[in-house]
Amino acid sequence: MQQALPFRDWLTTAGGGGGAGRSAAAAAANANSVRESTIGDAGSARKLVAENAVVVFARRGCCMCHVVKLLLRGHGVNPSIADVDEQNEADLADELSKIAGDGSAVPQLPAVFVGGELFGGVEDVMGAHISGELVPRLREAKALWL
Amino acid sequence: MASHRFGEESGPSHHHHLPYALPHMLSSNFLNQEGSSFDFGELEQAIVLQGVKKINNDHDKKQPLIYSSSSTVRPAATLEMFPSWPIRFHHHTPGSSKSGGGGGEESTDSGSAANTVSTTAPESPVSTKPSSSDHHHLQPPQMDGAGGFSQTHQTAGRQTPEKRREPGSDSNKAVDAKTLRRLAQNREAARKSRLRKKAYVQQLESSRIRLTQLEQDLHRARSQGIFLGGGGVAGGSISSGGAIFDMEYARWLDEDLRHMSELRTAVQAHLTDGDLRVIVDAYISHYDEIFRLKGVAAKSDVFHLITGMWATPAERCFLWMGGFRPSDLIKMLISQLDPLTEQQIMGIYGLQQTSQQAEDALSQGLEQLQQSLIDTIANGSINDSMHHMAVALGKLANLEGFVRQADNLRQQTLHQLRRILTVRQAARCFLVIGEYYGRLRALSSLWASRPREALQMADDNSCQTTTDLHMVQSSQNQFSNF
Repeated sequence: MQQALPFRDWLTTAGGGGGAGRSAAAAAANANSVRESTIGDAGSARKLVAENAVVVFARRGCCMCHVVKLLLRGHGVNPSIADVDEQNEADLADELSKIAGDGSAVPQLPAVFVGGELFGGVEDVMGAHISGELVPRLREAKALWL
Repeated sequence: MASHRFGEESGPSHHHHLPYALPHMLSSNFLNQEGSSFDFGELEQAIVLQGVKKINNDHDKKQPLIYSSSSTVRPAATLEMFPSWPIRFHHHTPGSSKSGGGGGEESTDSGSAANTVSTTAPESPVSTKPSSSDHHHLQPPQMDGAGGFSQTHQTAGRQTPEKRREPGSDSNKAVDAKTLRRLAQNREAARKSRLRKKAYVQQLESSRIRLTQLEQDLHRARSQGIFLGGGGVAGGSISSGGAIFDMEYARWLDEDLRHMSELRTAVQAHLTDGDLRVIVDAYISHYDEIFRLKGVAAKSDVFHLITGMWATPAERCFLWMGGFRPSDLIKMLISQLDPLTEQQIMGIYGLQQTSQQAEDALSQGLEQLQQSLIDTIANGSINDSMHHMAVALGKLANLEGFVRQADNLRQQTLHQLRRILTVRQAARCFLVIGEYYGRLRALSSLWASRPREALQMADDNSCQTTTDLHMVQSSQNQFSNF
């Protein structure tokens, strides 16, 4: 199931950016699997945000994270979930606000990054979902192909 | 008789009956010190000292007294408590012993006086004034008159104090020191217990005052909460956050009626779009306000919101995460809102779909929270219960987030509706919404006040009926069979 599908090949050759293509393909192919990783240090957070179209930073077992995941998956996106340990949370929050841009507020977890930019929290995702702004943004970040 | 007298009269009256035998300062001092409570410590000391002195007088009549320790102590008239113990008449010259002479004469005088009077309050020998020694010089001449009377008691008195003291004493001096210490300790203990009692009584008084104040506050808050909360309130068991929200929600409902009538007149009056827009936007802000209030209430009492205690029973029946279900509202509106353009129809159906998806996501998230909570509560061990409770509390705190997100979803849905529709359509749409919920609330009150004879209707076990009312009745009849 997770192995080669013609779809994947098509996506990589379509060449929508190596990292994004890979992650989107993985998302399309691995409908049931989740790409999750644990944040060891703040540096890897930056890497995750840069390499993936959609990243969700959330505490382990957080229920709101589950809600965000479901919303995004409903669109056919499989976000990269980054589990945040309690001890790293403070550092990570600082790092995330730096990635988001200087002077921005420290983001609340779960925090969603789309296309390397901070999108917001659950409220923002839901608002965009209702207002119909979410899909264009996802397409822009090449997380969606349809 | 002695005990009868003792119990009967209190200290102050004792004053009058001792004109000269005891210094008034002595007795008044004692009384002011001790209040009206009887002090055994003092009495005991007085008795002992008197008895000890008597023994000494007996044995060492002609010898100078050796009491250096007790030289400042004067026996009191406490012995009058036991008039059967005769007062000893001593033959000391004034020079032989100050204490003995003074004490003896005092006691005889007081004895004579007290035989006719009450013997209740013990006079303390502790605070014996040196001036008593002055008194006893005056006393001898007066004693003569009473002396005869007291003399009859002397001999008998000689023995009894001896008998009392002898068993416990080896040497007078040792006994005296020990007993003095013991008496002092008793005094201290008595004083401490008095102070403790006073402190305790003060504490009780202040607690009582605080309790009455609390009761008043509770009564006031309760009456406010019940009065303004309307039908959805269980008496007395609302938290303050819930009560405050109920109050504000009642006010919001009144505002809603006003907005509705304004909208109605505006639509019928065919106002310009500009004017209508103002009214419609005001209604949107009105809804924004209730969502803001709910957000505040969720912080203080999320259970009040999530169980729908603020809403009418019929509304509560359709409750989803502390409020109305947006997709249900859209479904209801679709039929009411024609004519709509194609684009608008697409928009409305799209809105129905997205709100449904969001609702599902939230519901699943809540389900996950509930499952996790169940696991935490079920797996708490006896030893670790506090930790598990803390974890469970932490999980419960997430409920607030869910109610907040649900309200956010409702708010976004209404805003999107406003965007899809024209101003006029939006005005009619909000009229429909207001009308719908007004009817739902009216249904609640009708149901609450429905005639009870409907329950005794003929037993109808048929489940083929289509009306809900019949089904309800038949199920009720089935239950009544049990």
